[in-house]
Amino acid sequence: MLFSVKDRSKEIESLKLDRSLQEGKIEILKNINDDLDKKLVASEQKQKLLSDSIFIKNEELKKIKIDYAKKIGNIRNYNDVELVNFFTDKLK
Amino acid sequence: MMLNLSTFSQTSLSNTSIVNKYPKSLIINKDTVIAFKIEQARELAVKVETVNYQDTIIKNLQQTDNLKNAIISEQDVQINTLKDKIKNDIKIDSMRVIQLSNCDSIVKNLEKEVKKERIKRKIAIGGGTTAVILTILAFLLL
Repeated sequence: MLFSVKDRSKEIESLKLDRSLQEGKIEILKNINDDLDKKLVASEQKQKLLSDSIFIKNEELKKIKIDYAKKIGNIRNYNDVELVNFFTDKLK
Repeated sequence: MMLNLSTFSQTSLSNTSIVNKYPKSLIINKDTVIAFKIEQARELAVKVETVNYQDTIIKNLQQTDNLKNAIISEQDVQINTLKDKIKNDIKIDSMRVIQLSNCDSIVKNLEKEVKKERIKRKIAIGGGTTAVILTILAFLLL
């Protein structure tokens, strides 16, 4: 009877040790996941910046189109001096 | 910058009188110059400006394209990170299951021990009581 109690105590100790080991492994995995969360946040912030840059580029594109339309309108009304200036500028 | 100057050449466009005359080559102060009518010069200027505009648009679109590719790369990073997290969560879950089963085993073992301790105590109490009774009886008989 005493032997079996000792045996059971050993088994309990072994189970407790096993549980601690599992807890340690879980803790490591949790830490890895925390790092992955940080990586995710950093990546999302980078993505936000890139999206903002695309928005700026689209706004630039709109401005370029408006500027072009204005410029073409002006060119169609250029007099001889303005035309000479235009080509002089382009040939610089 | 590619300009279709043949539009203004004397040979290819001979329908209108303006185009018939201009552009033409002139020698001014020993310099050979090409003369255009002002309308033709304006048209050339528009074409030059259009080419510049197209170059600017292409540059802008290429930059936007690069930014979109960078976003796709970031999204790939996020997908892979989430996949890794899910893998880790699955591992954690399976470890929790093992832990629970460990706890169950510990509880069962402890319950058995408690039962045995109770039996032991009962035996001890019973033994003690019997010993006391026997002692009393022995005294009474003597």
